[in-house]
This record gives sequence, structure tokens and C-alpha cells, in this order.
Amino acid sequence: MESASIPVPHGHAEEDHHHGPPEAHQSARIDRSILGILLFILSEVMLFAAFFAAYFFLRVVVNPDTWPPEGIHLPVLIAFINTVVLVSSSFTVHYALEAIKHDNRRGLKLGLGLTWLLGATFLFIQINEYLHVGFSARDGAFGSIFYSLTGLHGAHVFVGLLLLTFANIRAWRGHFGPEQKNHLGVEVPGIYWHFVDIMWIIVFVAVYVV
Amino acid sequence: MGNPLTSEVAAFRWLVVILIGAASVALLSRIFGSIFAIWYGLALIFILIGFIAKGMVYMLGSPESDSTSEDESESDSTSENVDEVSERVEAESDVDGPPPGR
Repeated sequence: MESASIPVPHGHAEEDHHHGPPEAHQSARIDRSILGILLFILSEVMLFAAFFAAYFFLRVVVNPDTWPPEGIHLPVLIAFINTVVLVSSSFTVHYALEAIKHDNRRGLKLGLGLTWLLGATFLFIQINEYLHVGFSARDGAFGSIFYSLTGLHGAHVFVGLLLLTFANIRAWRGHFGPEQKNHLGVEVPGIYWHFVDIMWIIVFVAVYVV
Repeated sequence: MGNPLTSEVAAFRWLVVILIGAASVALLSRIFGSIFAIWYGLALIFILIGFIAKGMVYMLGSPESDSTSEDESESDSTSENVDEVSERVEAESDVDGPPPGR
């Protein structure tokens, strides 16, 4: 049976004729799902950068001598415990991904489940901290920027938990596999979760430690 | 360390690096004071941004960079697709005979 394609002169295939053109996204060197989440994360980095700029402006330029204001004591130990909890969750999500790469479904479920629990614990402790910290967002510039920065991060943790919820449900339903294209549903939330962790490390050091 | 924006594994490695960097910022704030630590931390962040920017430029690719010798060793799906199309066209041309008008 003869081919229905249009013949093309030898040696001029690329110049003269597009026969089965490559997919539009193929200029990028990574999978489009990964590229999508990374571009999203870069936009999120800019959002956080705006909040950090406001924080450091208030701290270094406006109030260089009295920061935090007198009478305000941040619960550094509790925040440190929260940091340990959140950083641990990055290790568990990494474990989950490594597990599915080796076709270990039990490890995948365990890792994703632990990650979700640790993330929820972080959020619970942070809400509890808000209830007992002793100042509100109305109490001056410090209160405003403290709640803005930590609240923005908390919102991202919440979104990350939603993504992990879907990943957990899919894992329990038997989705995902060792091949890269089959575990993007774990890898993409994992990248997002690492971003959330990295942001918290910076928030913790900037607000509670330095 | 490489590009932090290629995969979960790369991002995880950078998380560990940032953890170490944060610990150094905390240590320097105790030794030299807050302002010094803030500037030191900002410098570390700008270094990280440099890595990310470099990684993004490579990752997004472009027709120009695809044809340079620097990228020849890297796997490139675009050029692979072009090669595949060329091979298919040549194979079909062999079967069908010379094109009309030649």
C-alpha cells in the first residue's frame, strides 16, 4: 500500500516541508508538568520576595533599634519544633518518591501519609501559636508583617496539603508507577512541598532567629 | 550541585543546602549581630537565584542554543524529533520514488 504522504526532495526535509512537526512544548528540556510547576513556583518566589522586602524594610530601615518591639516575645522554641516538623516532611515526601521509583507501593503510601500528617501538624501548631502569641495583626507594623509573612506561608502549606491529599488518594487507589511519566502526580506536589519548606526555613530564620 | 529546578531530587538536595545555609546565618547572627546576618543571608539568596536563573535558561531551551556545540552532548527532544522526521521523510521518499517535478 502506497503512502499518502507528500514526497519531499532529499536533503531538504527540514527546510522545505514539515512532515509530522514536533510537539510545541518540546523546545523545553523537561516535562511540561514539571516546567509548569516550576514556573508557578517562580511566580510564588516573587510574591514571597515582596513580603520579605516589606519585612526587611520595616526592620532595617524603619525600626533598626527596636525589633521586635518591646513587650513582644516570639515563641522561638515552638517555631523551631515546627521547623523540624516541616523539614521532616520533606524527607518523607522524598522517601515516598524514591519508594515508587523502586516500585515500593507500601513505601509510597507510608511516605505520603506521613508527609500529610507532618504538614497538618505544622499547620495545627501554627494556628495554636497565633492563638497564644499575645499580639494581633493590628498591633503595629510588626504585628502586621508577622501575620502577613507567616500567614502567607501557612496558606501555601494548606495548598500543599490539598495537593498531598490528592496524591494520597491516588496512591491508595493504586495509581503511580516506577516510570517517570507515571509518578508525576507525586513528583509535582513533592517539588511544591520542598518549595514550601525552603520558604519556611527562610521565614523562620528571618523572623524568629536573626 | 547542578540546577535545582529539574526534578524533585534536585530540589530536595537544595533544600538540604539551604538548611545548612540557614544554620550558618543563625550562627553568624549570634556572633556578629542581626544586620550582618541579614546581609549575609541576602548574599546567599542571590547566589541561589543565580543558580536558578542559569538552570532556567538551560531548561527552557531555544532553537539557537539547540544548535550550538555546547549543547550537543545534552539530550534534546527537539533535535531528536527533527531527526526522526527527517528519517521518516527520507524513508518515504525512497519508497515513493522521486518527487514530482524533479
